[in-house]
Amino acid sequence: MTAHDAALPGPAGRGLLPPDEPPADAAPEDPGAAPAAARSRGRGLARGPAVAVSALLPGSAHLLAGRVAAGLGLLLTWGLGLGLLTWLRPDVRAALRAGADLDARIAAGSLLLLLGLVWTTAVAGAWRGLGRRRALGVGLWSVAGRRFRRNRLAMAGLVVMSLIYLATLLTPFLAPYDPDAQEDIVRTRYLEPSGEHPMGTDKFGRDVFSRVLYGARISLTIGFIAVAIAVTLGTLVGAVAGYFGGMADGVLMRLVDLLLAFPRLVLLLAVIALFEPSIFLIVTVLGLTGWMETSRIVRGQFLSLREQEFVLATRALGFSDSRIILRHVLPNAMAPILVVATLGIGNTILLEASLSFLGLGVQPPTASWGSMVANGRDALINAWWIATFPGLAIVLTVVCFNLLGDAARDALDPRLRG
Amino acid sequence: MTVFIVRRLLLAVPLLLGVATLIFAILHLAPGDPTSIYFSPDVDPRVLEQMRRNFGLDRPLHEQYLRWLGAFVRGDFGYSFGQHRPVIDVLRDAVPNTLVLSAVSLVILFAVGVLVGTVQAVRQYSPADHAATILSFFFYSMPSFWFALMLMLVFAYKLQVLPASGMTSVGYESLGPLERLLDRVEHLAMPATALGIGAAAGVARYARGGLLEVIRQDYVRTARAKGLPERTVVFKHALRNALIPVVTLLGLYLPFLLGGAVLVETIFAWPGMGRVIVTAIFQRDYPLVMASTFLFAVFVVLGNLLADVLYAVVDPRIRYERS
Amino acid sequence: MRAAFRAVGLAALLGAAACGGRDERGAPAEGDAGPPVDGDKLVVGTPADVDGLNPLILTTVTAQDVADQVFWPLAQANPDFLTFRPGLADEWAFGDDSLSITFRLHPGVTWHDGRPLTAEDVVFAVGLCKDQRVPYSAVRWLDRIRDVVAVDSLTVRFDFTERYPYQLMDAVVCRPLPRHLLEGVDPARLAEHPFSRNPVGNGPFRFVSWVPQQSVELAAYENFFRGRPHLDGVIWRIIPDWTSLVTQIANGDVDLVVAVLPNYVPELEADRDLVLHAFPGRRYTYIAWNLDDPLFADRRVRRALTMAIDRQGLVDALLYGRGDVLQGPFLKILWAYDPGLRGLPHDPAAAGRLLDEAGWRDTDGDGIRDRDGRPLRFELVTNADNTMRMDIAVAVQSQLREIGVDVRPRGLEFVSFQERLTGKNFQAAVAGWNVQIKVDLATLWHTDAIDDQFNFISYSNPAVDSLIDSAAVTLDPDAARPLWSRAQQIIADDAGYTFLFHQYDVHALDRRFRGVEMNPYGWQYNLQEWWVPAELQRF
Repeated sequence: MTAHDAALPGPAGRGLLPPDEPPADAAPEDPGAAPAAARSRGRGLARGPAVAVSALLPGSAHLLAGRVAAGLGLLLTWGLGLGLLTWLRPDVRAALRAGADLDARIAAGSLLLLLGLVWTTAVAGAWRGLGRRRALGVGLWSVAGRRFRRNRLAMAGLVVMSLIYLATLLTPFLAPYDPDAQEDIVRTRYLEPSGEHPMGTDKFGRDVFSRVLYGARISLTIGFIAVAIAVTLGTLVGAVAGYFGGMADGVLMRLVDLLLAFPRLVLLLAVIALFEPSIFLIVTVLGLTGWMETSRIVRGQFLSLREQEFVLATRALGFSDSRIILRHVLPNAMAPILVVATLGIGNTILLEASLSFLGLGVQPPTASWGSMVANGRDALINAWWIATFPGLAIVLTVVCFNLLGDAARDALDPRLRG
Repeated sequence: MTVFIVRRLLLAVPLLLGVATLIFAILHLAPGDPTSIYFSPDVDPRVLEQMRRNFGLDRPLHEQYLRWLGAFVRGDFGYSFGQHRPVIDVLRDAVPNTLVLSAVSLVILFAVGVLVGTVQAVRQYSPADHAATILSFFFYSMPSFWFALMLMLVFAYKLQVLPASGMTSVGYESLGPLERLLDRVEHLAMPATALGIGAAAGVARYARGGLLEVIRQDYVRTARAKGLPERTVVFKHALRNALIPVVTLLGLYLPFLLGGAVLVETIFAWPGMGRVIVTAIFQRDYPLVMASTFLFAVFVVLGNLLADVLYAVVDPRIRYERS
Repeated sequence: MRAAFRAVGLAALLGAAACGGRDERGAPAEGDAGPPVDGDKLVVGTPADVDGLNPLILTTVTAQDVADQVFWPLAQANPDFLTFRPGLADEWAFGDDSLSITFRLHPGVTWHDGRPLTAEDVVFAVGLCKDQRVPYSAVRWLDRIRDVVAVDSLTVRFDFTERYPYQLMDAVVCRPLPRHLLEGVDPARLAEHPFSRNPVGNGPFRFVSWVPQQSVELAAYENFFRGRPHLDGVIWRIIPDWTSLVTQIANGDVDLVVAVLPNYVPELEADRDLVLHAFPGRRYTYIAWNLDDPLFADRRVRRALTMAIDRQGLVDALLYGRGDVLQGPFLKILWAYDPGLRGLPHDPAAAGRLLDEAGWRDTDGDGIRDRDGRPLRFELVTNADNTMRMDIAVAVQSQLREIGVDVRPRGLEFVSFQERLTGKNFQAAVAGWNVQIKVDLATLWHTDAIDDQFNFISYSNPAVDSLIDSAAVTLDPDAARPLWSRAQQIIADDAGYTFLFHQYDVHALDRRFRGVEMNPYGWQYNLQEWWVPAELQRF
């Protein structure tokens, strides 16, 4: 074991290992890992050639060393990146020139960054030495990471999710048309899916495929920001209630009960219908109505954590409450928060779609998946593709988030189930 | 147990009042009032003034609130501006329809969910298990309104095997009792499926997990060792215990279904609470919005209570103490 | 006086008839010949719910359609909206001073509960209509009716405060109500009276049942004084979702869909079991420019924007050709409509030159015109529940972008939208009017109406004011016509609205119905005469 590997980080990298995470639970639990490590030992290349091979073809050294999954992953991503770069070369070149629009620059930048990352990871891996399998961490996150990687469905979700992200970043290059460009609205509308328009055109002759791509940004952004607001707020409320207890706890939890007793969709409808819909309002309201579950879970975590010895110890040391909460208790409550957030994003995307369906979502001509389904609904009978493709995009994305969230829950703490 | 239930119900009272007050505030903060829907050059502004007076909307806000609250506590939900009749009559028409839809949906989702979950658990890691897992994720992640539209497109428009919407056919009154039942079932099929399918996927996952846990336990092994057929082991011994956590979902899904009903009822023209509440919000029909939101909240509270009680009933290890 | 009205009416009627009609394919089916037979029912599918059946209180389209069959007026407007045909009254006559009209009721008309209809019922109803405590929407039509007197049990006289062109129309707007059922009711609580949910009328169909959110059923009134209608009954089914509605008429669960959304028209047209009836309706759609906004205070800007919008393209795309580009404030179904009105052409190049002239040029090269450092950008609001208006906003946004104008469409919930309009708190709006059948420009275009709710664009032109003032009191339509024409032309030239189009109403009806006559008055013009050949009857 090298010195590098010996430093076993505790949860979230803080030196204090929480007592509720017995190391015994972790290390021996990975039955497949030990023999694999044994097998691979001694079969790898020496460091010099490994680095050289990796630099030429990232991932190949991993493959040669018998680390098939990592090697294939790196190799495929590299291939994908290079392929995209070759295919989109004129776009990228244009984007790097002065005066290109920001969207295109971001896209070009992310593509190059992706290639850079893959290359660095591969070379760095080879440099650190592939022959020796790194020791298995026993911290919460490394154990969870291994459990997660064994979940094939979740890994598939992760791959698809990554592709969706890549697509949102590269949208200006991938989208064949301007999403808002209307052609002759009589002759080019309601065109069936074809080579020219892979998902057909809508009632304004706009390319549905391009709109689905651009819509991904809006839908994902809404999902992320709303959940970020909700999780932050929920964590804050839960932390205060759970850590201080007493009056604060009572009042805050009654508030949570009150808001949970509202049917969320009805509350959203009321607020958005009665005021003026805009992305800003939608994100805010989705965020402000989605934090209750998080706060309950965080409160539960805090209630049990605050009685733990390591927290009592920090108190004895005279640390301030905010420091204890932020640096010692919260990191140990991150696991369930992460799970709730992941599942929440999928849920939020669905809610935004419902709101758009009732005409209160994102404002045109901006496309979100929900508003696209809503617009396509009128033409469902004569142009099924308009509502179907964005609907499938919603399903695909939400499935990914749910797979990831579910797997994260299983991996981080099986007790959280049910 | 009784003490627990009574205590929970008492605690719910301020909660429900809070819900009602909050919705009152939101509604009255928004621009416009119920007379706005009559905006047209044909309508004399004097008429709108008159309506405001008739509805008591010309009073100061706090007075409106106190008057409304006073009446509300006495069980008088007021008068629906949009439907021109007492709110209680509107609810009396709509609530049973929504409850029928939700109940049927609940039965379907539990039956399907438990069945699929059981098959998955018995054939763990088989292709059927994997397929069902993927499918349940798929249905769980589907927007209910989108699924509803797809159902209608396929079964009502293309295949023409199910009625597109409504609760009964024209001429329902002239049908015989059996035909009536069949007619009702046909009309229920699509809305109940659209409403319940996502939750069914959830139930399937819980049932699978629960059963897998139970199957590994000693008494199941004993039953197998006795030479009992696998079917008996699974259905008579294992399933009964595995269903404990699933049953508690019953109470939790009730409010969930009521929320989903908002969209599904609109699409399938089901004359229930969901449609009432959406229309009422858009019409600024204050009394109706307040009463129906309140009723939703009551269902949520009852649903949660039901979940807790069921949990205690099916699992003797749980006891709710007085303290 | 009446003769003059009749003559004009005929001309207008011919004009209207020429532009409407059936989209028929192939010869009528068998069983068409022979005298009409009784039987069968009509099932109407409608997205709008019913909010009450008392003709004084109701507000929704469906409720209005139902009440039209249950309650008859003294006289009915012809499709020219100028002349009248007998209703409950057989005949009527103006007094010598033209300050009164005397109606002679048809003898032996009964309410659906069997009690006879008398002049007292007419007097009673007008009393309620005029009562300030009753929120009767057309109350301002009754402002100039001084008194109503029952001369004898079958004769009723309306006295007016002054002479004006619409005396007859105002006299018949308030439909008689059964005094024996409603006498003594508190006018402020009229809507709550059980009568609103269980109406007793005098029309060709009597009320049977109303299941809220689901259906309303009427049955033929056997003792109707003009003879029993041929159909046994009419049922309205309330189906709020259009996909569902179209599916139901395609399946034959529903016989009639009124005012089909344009995008479903091609689909229904292809259905061989349906006949489509298309008529110029009473609705038009426009873009309102808020003249209080410095951007739109400049007439050149408004005219340029109007010319940059491809209105014929909108008609073709959004209405599937079922509509006319509108140039001025009158629809062609109104007698005062001027076919010679000169509108603005679709000419983006000229529009661009006009904007250049007004000082709006793209000086910073971002593709958007600007002036004094301010880009030519505005918010275009509309109500989000109306898909067509949202579509217009999106299409206009794209078309105006071509000439360097940056439009930000925004959909609002209906009531918020109305509040923004009446509060003059908007820049530009896609909106529409459902026009009344009177020729009237004062409500929308008169300077005096700026403080009222409806001239929310704050349009003010002294020339138009004086034309409206004199035309509105000119009794002879031929003398009034040139005044209305000039007013229309000025309003069109000023481009306070960009008039977009006059939409046709397309009604889809099952083939089995015979004797159907639809016209701009409405689909139900002669519903009591519809019939179905015995072998095709379904109910």
